Amino acid sequence: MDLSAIAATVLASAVLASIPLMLAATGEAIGERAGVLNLGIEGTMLLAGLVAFRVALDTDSIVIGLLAGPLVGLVVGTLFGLLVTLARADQVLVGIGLTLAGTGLSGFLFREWYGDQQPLLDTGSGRPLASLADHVPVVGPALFDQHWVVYAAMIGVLLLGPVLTRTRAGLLVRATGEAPFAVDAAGISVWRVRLGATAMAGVLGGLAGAVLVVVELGFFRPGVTAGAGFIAIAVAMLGQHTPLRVAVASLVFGVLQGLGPGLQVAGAPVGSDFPRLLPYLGVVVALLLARHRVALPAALGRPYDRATARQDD
Amino acid sequence: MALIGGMPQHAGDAERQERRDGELSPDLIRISGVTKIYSGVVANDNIRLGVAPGEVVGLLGENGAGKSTLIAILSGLTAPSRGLIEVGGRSFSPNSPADALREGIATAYQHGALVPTLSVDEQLHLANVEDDDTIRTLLREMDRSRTVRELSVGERQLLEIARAVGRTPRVLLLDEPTSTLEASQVEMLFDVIRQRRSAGRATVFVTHKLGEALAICDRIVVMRRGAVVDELRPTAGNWPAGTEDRLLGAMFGADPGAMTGNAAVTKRRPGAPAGNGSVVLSVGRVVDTGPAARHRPVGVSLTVRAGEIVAIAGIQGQGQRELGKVLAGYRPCRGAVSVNGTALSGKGAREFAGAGVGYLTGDRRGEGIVARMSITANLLLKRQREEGAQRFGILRARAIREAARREIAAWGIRPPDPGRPAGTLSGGNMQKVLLARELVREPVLLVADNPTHGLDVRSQVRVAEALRSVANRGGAVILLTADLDEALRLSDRVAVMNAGRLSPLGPTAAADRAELSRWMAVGW
Amino acid sequence: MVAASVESIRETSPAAMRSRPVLETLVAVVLSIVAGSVVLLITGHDPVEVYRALIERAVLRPAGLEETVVRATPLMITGVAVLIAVRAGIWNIGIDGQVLVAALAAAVAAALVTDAGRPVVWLTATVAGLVAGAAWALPAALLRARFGVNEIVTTIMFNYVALFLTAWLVKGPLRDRSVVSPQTELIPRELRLVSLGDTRTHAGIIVALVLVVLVGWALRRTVAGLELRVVGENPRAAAVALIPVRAYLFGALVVSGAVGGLAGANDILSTKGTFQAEWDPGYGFTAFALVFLARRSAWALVPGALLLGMLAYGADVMPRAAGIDPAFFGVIEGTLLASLAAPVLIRGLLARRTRKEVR
Repeated sequence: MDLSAIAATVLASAVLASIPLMLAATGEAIGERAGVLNLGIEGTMLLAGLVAFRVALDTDSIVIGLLAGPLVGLVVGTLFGLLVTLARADQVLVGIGLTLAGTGLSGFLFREWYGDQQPLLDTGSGRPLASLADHVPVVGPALFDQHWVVYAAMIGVLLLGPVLTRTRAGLLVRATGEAPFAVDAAGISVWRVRLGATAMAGVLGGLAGAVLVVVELGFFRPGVTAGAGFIAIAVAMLGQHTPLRVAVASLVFGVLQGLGPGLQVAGAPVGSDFPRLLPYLGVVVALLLARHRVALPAALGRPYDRATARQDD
Repeated sequence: MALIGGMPQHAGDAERQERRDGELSPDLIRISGVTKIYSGVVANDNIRLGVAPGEVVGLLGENGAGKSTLIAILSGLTAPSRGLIEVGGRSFSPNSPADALREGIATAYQHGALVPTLSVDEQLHLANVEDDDTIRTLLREMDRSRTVRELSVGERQLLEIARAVGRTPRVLLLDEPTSTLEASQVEMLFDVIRQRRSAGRATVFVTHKLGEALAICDRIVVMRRGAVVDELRPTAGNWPAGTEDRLLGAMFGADPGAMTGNAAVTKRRPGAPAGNGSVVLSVGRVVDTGPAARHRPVGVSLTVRAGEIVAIAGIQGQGQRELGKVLAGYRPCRGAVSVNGTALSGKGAREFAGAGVGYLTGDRRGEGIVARMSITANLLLKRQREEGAQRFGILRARAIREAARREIAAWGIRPPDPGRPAGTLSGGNMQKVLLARELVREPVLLVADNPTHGLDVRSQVRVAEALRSVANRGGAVILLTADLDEALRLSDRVAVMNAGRLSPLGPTAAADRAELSRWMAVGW
Repeated sequence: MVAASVESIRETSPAAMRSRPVLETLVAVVLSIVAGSVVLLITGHDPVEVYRALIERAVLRPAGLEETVVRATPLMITGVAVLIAVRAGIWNIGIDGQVLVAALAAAVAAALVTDAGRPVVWLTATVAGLVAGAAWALPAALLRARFGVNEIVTTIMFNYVALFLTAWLVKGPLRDRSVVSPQTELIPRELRLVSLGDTRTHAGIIVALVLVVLVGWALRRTVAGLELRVVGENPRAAAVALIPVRAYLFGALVVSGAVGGLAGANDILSTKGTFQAEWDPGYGFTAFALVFLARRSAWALVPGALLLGMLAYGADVMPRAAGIDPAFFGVIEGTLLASLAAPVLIRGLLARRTRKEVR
């Protein structure tokens, strides 16, 4: 295999790998904009991914499988939202709990349902533009040999940008993460906005898990996300909580993820493990380099308490 | 008749008759017997007050008189401990600002109700404000695409007013709306209030500025120590002679000594150094270089001598807090700072403390008290590394406990329970804890940032005594305060801070209150 | 800021101060058992049977009880590690990475000195573990204290870096070529920590208990412990009280890492004897459940670790005993942590109960 072919493969898989990351990170960004840090995205992705996998297998339909994921995400995200708003629970702890429970439940259910079997879904079809790929060197496959879900997801995420900046819902979300008291004083319920944002984050996290399992991999195994839900948190911060920049940051980490298999194909003597740590190390380096540009919402992580809210000023 | 009671001696037969008549044209808001108790401190004491349609009611009182608490109750921010509120004849017990807004009660808060990252337009949109003539007038000089963070303090206050006015509420509550406004902006606000009056909409104007209250209000209600103590209205459109004196008397109490406590204690001890003692603090052309602040101190020069209290008065956010931190070593600066001859330029808080500088923070809950730790631990802090508190890094538990018991008794900290979490104390008792731990170190210079803010009168007196005791012992005090009267009452010399600059410093005895208050508002 | 969220779980209102810690903790435990039961019922298992089998095997049988104690040992140590960080107001979610790197370092270092006898092996492995754990926490600590980069994400990322780095090392440069599976040189059983009497329980539990006592004492009774807690409770007040906040943030995370490393060394010196590639210790999140189960008290880590140790052992035997995949216990731990994080929810449940009783 020559280098340009390897590069083409790496890029194509990078684009694909960036999609779940982008969806999860956009969800996380929306939640954080409203002031809620959700460390449970990893667990949400796993649970939604498993359910989507089973539904897709049982119905023999990728579309129905993809719909099941966000549904699971909606339930989980709403539960998380209720705990961190009405029950005023600590966001970090509930997030870790959610990841623990989601990882456990998905692993348990997978064994319950499939035992030691490893069923597979077909991920080869559903590529409407594949015929165009050969006409463009290197980036052809990355641009055109992709599942239609990749295009749909990208368009969807990019459409969320204007939703955040131009709609009233977006305005409420942005205001709630910065100055919840101002939102409260304007007669708007802080916890409802936050609940809505965490539910939305859950939906996108669920979709991310579903896309990862049903479209990218075609199989499920316990812990299959391998920390993608956590990388998504970093990507949301690095993407400055705006969908467009989140998408770009996701692509970067998609490339880092695709680098490992690429190097192996290219015959580099590094084994399979070393390159796999690159995306995680990349996150740390990126957070260091971009530390001045990462502005977290002022009220991130804090439950809203009317009695003490104004003392922060 | 709007006011129900308040001062029984004013409620004659005729008034009671009127009150019965009033049921035909009922008050918009009727407050009866409202009491609010915050962790043992009575903030509102059996308030009875009514507001009629089209009326402009001035709510006067010094800091801590309970005005803001009453506003918070009416705004739905907090529930009263006891009492009844009726709006439009129906019982009203809001659980949130949304409930209050639904009943047509909108509030312009003093601060904190704007989103720093949103533009002016977004801010109005967030608050569901229609862009009408009133809004356009109020905001006519403002670039509405700018974010709140980029606005000046005055512009923010104007926007905050617009946010509340723009909902055309039946009742508009304005909490100290003019503290950072210029005269022309105040006049603009008064125009809006007059329009509301003619449209039959009520306004409650909370202020401690007498002149403004007299200029716009149909009735003035005075609060002191949480209670309504007086109520006045003009006769035939004019305020009766002696109104100002009567209001001042009501605000500060008949005997000014009751306000300042035992006046003698807060005065200089005869024979004490009287400010011609040795130079304790010398500051030369100091420029604050710390993190961003609304106004940072620039070019400040100052000399403070042993035995004197120097007050620096200024409206909140003009750089006094930052100056206090610079002088205690908590913020970096350029320029020369020395304490008792020791140059401390470029040094940190630890070196300042080592040179004998004490610091009483203006943010008691935020950076003074450690809420979940015991009173004992809070009394220990800052001294935990000193000989008496530890040996080889191990705390001397018994010595610490005994010291705490002594301080609690000496300062009368209530409840006198050393193990109690300090966060459950009242503001006054928290301040005693913080003062105790500064004074036990016998500071040569104590920097006190708004030390009486939010305290009940008894605690205010205790704080004033403590500051004077530092000076009488031969130390020096820098008193940073937003309350000019307090500055005049407690200090030997006084200066004003405005937009980060320090005015000339002069003896308090010769100070002209009117001039200083103008300096506070617009500079010199 | 995110770091402030540690603050948020702290009750500040006077009413909340009158909480009933033991009762509330029990309610959280019950909630997690109920959540587990629901999952079991839905998947066609009999929860009573599963929990009965768990108790029987992990508590009632002497051998099971020994295993529970063995499993509790690393949890207790990692619990202390998390506690040190949490009390300073920082989130060390990177325990697993510190355990992995320290375990590998301990295994390699111990293998170098096997000829020098038991005490040297113990000392070498322990020091190697402490140093490696601290070193692995160092970047995150530096980033937090020096550059203000939040430690939550960085510590998690270093878990994955450790996972793949150790796997790479143990499959390549550090591999013992004499065995088929990728692992380091095996430390003979007679050089590892001594057993307590004729049981599977080993001296590691003594180390863990000493550590709990030591750290519990230090937090309460030393200047450093007091200052660390002030930093965790209110960093701004700490700065005003002349405490070097950044130094404490840095130090707490590094010491937390070192203690996490001790857990890794302890595993190598006791049950494992060798570092095997792709070992996922899974202590990190459990340690958080433990610390908040213990309500951030050092002493209470001991009973808490025994309870979670029981679950950990249960996870090992339940596939055979009741056909339950070990992953199931993640559901219990996760819901336990989530309910512990929501005291308002639990108080609400308790209040409803009390009202009913009154009626």
